[in-house]
Amino acid sequence: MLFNSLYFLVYLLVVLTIYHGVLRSFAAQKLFLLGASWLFYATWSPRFLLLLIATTYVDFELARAIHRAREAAAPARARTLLVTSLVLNLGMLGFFKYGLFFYQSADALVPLPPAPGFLAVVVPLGISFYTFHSISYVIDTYRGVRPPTDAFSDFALYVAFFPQLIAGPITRWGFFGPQLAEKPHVGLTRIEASLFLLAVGYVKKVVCADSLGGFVDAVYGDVTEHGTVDIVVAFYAYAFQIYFDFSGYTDIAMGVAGLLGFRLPENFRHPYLAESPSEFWRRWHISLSTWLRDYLYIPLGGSRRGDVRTYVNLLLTMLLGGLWHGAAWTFVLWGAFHGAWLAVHRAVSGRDWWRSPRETALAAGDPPAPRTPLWLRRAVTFHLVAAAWVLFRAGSVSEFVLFFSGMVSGRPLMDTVPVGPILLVLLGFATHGLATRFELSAVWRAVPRPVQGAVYGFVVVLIGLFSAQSGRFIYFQF
Amino acid sequence: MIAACVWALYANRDVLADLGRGDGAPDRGVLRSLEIAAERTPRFERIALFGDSLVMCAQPGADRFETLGSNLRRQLVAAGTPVALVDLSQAGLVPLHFFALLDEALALDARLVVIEVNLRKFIDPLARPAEERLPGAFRKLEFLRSLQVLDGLEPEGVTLLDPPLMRLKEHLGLLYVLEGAREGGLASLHSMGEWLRSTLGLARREGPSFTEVARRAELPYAIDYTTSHNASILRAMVQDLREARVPFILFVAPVDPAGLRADLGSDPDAVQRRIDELQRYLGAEPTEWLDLHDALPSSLFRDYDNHLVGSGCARLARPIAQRVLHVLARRARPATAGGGLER
Repeated sequence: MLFNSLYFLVYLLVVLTIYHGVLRSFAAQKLFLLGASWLFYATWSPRFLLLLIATTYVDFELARAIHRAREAAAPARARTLLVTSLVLNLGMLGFFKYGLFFYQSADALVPLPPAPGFLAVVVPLGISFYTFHSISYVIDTYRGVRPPTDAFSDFALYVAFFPQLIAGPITRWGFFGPQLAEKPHVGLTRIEASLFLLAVGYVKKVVCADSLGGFVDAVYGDVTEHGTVDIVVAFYAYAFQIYFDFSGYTDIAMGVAGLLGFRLPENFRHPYLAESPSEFWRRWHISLSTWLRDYLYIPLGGSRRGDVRTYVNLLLTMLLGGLWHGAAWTFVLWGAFHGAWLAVHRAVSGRDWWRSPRETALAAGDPPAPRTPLWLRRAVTFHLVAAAWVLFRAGSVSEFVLFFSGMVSGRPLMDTVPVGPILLVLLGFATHGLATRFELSAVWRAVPRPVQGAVYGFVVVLIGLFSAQSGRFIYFQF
Repeated sequence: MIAACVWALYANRDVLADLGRGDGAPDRGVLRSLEIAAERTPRFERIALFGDSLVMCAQPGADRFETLGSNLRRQLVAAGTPVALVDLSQAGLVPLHFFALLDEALALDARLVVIEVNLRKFIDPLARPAEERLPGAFRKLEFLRSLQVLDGLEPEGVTLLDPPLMRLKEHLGLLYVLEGAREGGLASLHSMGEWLRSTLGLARREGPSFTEVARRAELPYAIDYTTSHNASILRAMVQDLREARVPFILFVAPVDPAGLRADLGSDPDAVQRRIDELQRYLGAEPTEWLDLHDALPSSLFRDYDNHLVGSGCARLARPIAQRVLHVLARRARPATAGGGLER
């Protein structure tokens, strides 16, 4: 059930009606939401719903056992339980997502017999996201950040909450758990803000991302036949397709959650305004980059063990972050590129990758002011990010090479100048540029309600106009 | 401004619907054929023919098509068995379209149904209808019948809710209006692109995409057809036809032998075995199954998609006409034991 499908709209209407109109107690509402979330998942695969429920229950019990072990001052036992949880979660992720990839990679080095059939399994939808939810919960319990919940239904809802189940944002228990303690008030202000997010999200996805996607797919599907202009436009088009697609999904997720009275963490902050790789990762898929920081980079030693070790940690963190996106060497290389870039940037600027210049200044005195103008830093960062996206989108390294050789091939146009994608890319730049001056949601709040209503009507027409070409969200595959 | 845009869409809905319908819409093709057939009282027994562009034959670059339907009609007349043939063939149709329209074909009291099985539709997901208007035909799919082919809806980009929604749009006079607006918008963007191209003096490539030609030429035919959603849809059609006690012929459309060659290398019988598996899966009896995948020489094909040249339809019609005559003759004889398929 895709967010951009009719099924989902009907499902959402039914859920909202029962949630707000029929149920009164918050306990009943939460139970209903859990059932609705599991149903949402079951529409994709009832079989894998059982897997989701089973792993949720195991992590729930393991976290409680870890807490008991901590209270009983039995650190060895707590550590064993933590390792058990990590092995189970990462083992499951590894088996479903990377089993065949590693087998085939090993086969390329040392010839092996044909891969056993059990490795060629379907990857359960959203597995990368919900296992990260569970892992962060168990690790936080082990660290004593906060005690685990005694209510299985609360934990299960945290893992399976349908707006964020398939493609995030990756939410922490510390953020979501407290919201389950008290019935949220869903007033007019929250409804308006949520509807605004929904409208923005759907326009980003259906109008922008999917329109760009048709063009991008055509170019990447047949890169040797497309001309230089087509490929150059596709270079920019994919950068904005993936932004519109994933941030559109997040907006819809936040909007739906808002209508139910819940908040989800911010995941995007106009990423192409970044002036360095570290800033990019503070603006792009924030929930993943902070997760990697807290549960991988810092446990590896972060920047506490000298420069060389810091660079290795950065490289390793981003490499695994790349692999998290998919079982392919192009994702690994994409991660390695970002890791290497962060390391080089740190070596040059002396800044930690997740810290803002202000935070770094507070931590280590005044850093040297950048000598290059802001627009140039932004342009360089954007183009390096976009170049890495080519690796992300290409099916293989050779396709990546073909893409860049096509950009300078001087081949004639495939058809005509792709005006539609160019306009959407310009729209992407414009929205980023305007974001430096205006807060769109603040502008929206100032708009009179009748005009807001007319805009919503127009958005519905726009979605109808563009929906024929609408497809899956890119991040669903991860 | 926004209200003006919405109003402009509504006020110009007829013009936009006409633009959106386009020449390739089912309303001007297969649905029109059904309408015409419904308005007339046939002088002869009715036969319905379901097919796609493989039953439309033309020389490369020609505007006019020979069709299997017209050739079939001629050959049956020549054999002394004239029929009222309802030709429900149109380029881009897929088995789900056939299934959606089967009800209406049966309502016309068709005495025999001939259905094309295009192997390319099973192999190549890109062989899905290119024209966005073709989903318009899905509004004929009744809700309860769509439950029969639930697994086949998603691969064709259709949901259970689409057909009723299309019917509602048709009822409100809004069918194809948004498609028309989209067509208009795309045409404007294209002409802007052309203007920009000529202004900047940019060259455009000539000829087809060689990568695409090579990809299509290399598609394997020795695959398991029974796992395709098309197989389950055709099986549902077979069941419907059996329940309606209407005889049918499923014919496997010819494949260019040049395209088959790659599969025939190590195991010459692999493709034949796979096609036989499909027949068994569909539950088609030998008299209901006509395997013509290797019936025509390479010279009668005009591309790797197995489209036929002008004279191809006449050659293709011969074995089908013979089988039609055979089925009609059997049906005319008194029913015998085991002849439960005949009316």
